[in-house]
Amino acid sequence: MEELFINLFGKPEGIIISQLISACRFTIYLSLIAFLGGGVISSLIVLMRIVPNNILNYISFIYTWLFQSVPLLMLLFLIGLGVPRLLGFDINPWIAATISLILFTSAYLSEVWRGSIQAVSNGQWEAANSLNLNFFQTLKLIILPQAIKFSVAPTISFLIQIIKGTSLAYIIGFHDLMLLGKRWANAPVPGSEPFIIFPLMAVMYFCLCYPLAIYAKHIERKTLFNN
Amino acid sequence: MPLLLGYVWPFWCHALLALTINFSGYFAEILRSGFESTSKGQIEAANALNLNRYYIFRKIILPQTIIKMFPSLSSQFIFIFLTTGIISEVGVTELTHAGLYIDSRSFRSFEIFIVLSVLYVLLSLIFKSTLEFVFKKTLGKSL
Repeated sequence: MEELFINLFGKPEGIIISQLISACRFTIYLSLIAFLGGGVISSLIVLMRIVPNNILNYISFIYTWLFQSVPLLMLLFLIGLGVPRLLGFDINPWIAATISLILFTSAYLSEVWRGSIQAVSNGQWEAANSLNLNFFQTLKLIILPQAIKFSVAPTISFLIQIIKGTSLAYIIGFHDLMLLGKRWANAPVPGSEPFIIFPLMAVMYFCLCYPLAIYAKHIERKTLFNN
Repeated sequence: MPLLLGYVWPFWCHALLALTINFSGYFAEILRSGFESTSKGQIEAANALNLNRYYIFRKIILPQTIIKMFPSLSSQFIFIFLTTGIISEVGVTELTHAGLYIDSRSFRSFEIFIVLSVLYVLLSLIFKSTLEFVFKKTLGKSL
């Protein structure tokens, strides 16, 4: 692939573009891992938020509030640089970036999903209760099928936020599009000046995010149309 | 951009420009959804009362839109406040940059980042409660 780009764009640019594109895959991996891990944790958090138990409700409220109030950058610094210094061993940038992005994702995503569960009207809960369904039956059979419809579009838009968030992970040495681009921008190679590299990177992030944005808009319109 | 233009503004100008462009995108989207959610019937009713367009906008659409927009706008503001740490990357001396500076001098990363996180949490709490207070005072409703 590299030779194709070299033939297309000439010597420094072809190498840069092919390297940037191949570094994109780490961005995609990291955002997918963060999305899946964050999804699992945030479904637990949402469950804790809506069960009829005050202590669990409070714990999940504190969790979301805390990780929504701490910036992602601070989470990355804390887990990638602070904790290793405290404990005296190195943490792989992969692991640190994954953990902090999962914390970030779970806090915001759980809020999105809680909103879509609350969008299902209260009468549904009461009707299910009068049919003698217990809490989990109600959730599984009645509330979730309706809530999922509301939640798909905002979840996809949040995936865009995660992809943009992964660009911060370069700060702790995570080898992705951002780090590679920055390295090229600082390299004293003619043809790799910052004002060429950074727009290129912006275009690549745009290519990752824009299809998702269009898809989210499309789904949103469909759900609006159906209701 | 400094390389392209051939001269350097103060770093915070570049940071401000970038944040402004970023926030304006979100702001425009919030504004649009706010205006769209005001029902057409309101405008038609105002037209039927022979109010002019400026008056309709000023007295009928704007108050409703502001009430609708305020919650999402304030949460977006908190979000942008939390992302301002990034501008330390271009060399602006703000909270994160100061923290990194102390860290590079003392190598006590954990304590410094904990303190920074607590500061960010406290600041966002202050902003949030202030915005809620303003909303309550000016519109007489709670968020």
